[in-house]
Amino acid sequence: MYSLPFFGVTGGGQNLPIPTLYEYLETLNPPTAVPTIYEYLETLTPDESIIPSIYEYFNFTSLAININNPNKASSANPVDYVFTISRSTPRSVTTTVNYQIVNVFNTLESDFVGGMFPSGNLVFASGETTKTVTATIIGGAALGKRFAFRLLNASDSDSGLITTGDQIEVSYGEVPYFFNTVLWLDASDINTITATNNLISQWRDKSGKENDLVQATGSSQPTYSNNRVSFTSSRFLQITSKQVFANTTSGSVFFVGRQPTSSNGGWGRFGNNTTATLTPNSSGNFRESFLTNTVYTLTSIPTVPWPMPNSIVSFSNNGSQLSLWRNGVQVSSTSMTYSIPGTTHQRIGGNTADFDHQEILMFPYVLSESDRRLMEGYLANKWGLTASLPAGHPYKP
Amino acid sequence: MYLIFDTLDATQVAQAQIDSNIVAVIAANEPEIVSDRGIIPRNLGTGQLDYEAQRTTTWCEPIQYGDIWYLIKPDINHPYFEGIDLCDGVVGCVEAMELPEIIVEEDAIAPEIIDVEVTEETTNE
Repeated sequence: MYSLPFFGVTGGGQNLPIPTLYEYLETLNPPTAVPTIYEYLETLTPDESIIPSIYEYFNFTSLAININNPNKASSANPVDYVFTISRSTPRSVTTTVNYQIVNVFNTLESDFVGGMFPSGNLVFASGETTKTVTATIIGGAALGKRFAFRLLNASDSDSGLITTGDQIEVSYGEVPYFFNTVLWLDASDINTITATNNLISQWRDKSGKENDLVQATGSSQPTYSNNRVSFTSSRFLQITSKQVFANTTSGSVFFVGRQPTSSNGGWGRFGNNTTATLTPNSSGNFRESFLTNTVYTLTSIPTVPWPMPNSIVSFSNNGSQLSLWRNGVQVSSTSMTYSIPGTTHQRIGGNTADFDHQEILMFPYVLSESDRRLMEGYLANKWGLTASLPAGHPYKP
Repeated sequence: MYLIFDTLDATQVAQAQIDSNIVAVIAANEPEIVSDRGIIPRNLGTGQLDYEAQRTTTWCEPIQYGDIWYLIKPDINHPYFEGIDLCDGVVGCVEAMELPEIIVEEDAIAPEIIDVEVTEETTNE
């Protein structure tokens, strides 16, 4: 007799050979051949006609979650998130699905209508393939937060409990708080702006790094109007007290803004070249020197409109490659050499600038694609630019 | 509009005069925002004075352009300054609508520009 054969335990003081699984099963049911899975199922269901196919057996429990609207990575309240739960195939039985929303990062019960995390049961009627659940956020403006819509378990009326573990995560609120930013200027948060007669002397950094940009000279101060800060060649903010980019060999910048007039107006200067970096010119090309010594002309494909309307623009510099995106579409990239800007080269506006900024974010590294898209989604939702995102963008409605 | 001077000294005298004129107007309307370290800004959200924020210390720093120096003529769009000549007492300058060319900043040098043609890098995501 074998004793605990699968653990290789010796019996009777002698080492016994470990049997194969098949050999072991034969010892349990000596005269009968081990049935196939299909034969076994037949023994459980007398009516052979209702035995599911292997495909049906492994798929009828399949449930998928989709979110109808994209991650509302903004501080707008209230926001409805509509989740669509789909059953893989139309079935004649009912399926009951238990769901709940759980915190992933910073989410509070008080963020939801009713003051508690939504949960409940969904019942798919015969033939029904989709159900929806709406979760309404009423809080969460202050911080970046993330929750998960989770399917806990499901049961079919004919086959009993089945288990699912599918979930989808949603980011909301001020998602830049998820990241290590070195500079975050937000014109929608006017508490971060100090001015005299609408001439701005300081735009406070929200990154926590205290990289406030300042301007003590009245004639050089940018102006504020309707959630926009307007910069010109002579009106700029700067930080000269320390380096925003230090101890790093890469970086990223995101901004939302526009060229208000038909000029070669640039957004600012965060590179060692003293010429301001430029948004599109009359040829639809960018000239850019973000974290480099040299101004590169990036041929834009497709051509970027000039003057550029309100857009989400981002650059990344990984130490050897400078890449540019506009409204979620990569426009161009080129090889270059990284260079930390000196303290006299850290400006928004100035030089040849002509730009209205709404939000500016800088990171001391290159964001992953998913994080870049999250930032694009956050900025698009916040500033009404979701229609400008390309089809298929995960944050496009 | 620019105020163009021959020397830095003359420009600095004019700068001080303009600052004095501006501070006098502000002090007549909002004396609480004037301090010896500059004009105290207000938080745009709360409207409260922010004593810790960057103060405005001058209207315009002298700017060198070739052999001349200039200031940007004060033009402040606010009711306090309507009908007030903020250049009162400023002497030794010429007013000009434009400088000959684009403003050149103190640390500006000719940029090195590289044209990079990228034809295959675009992705529509």
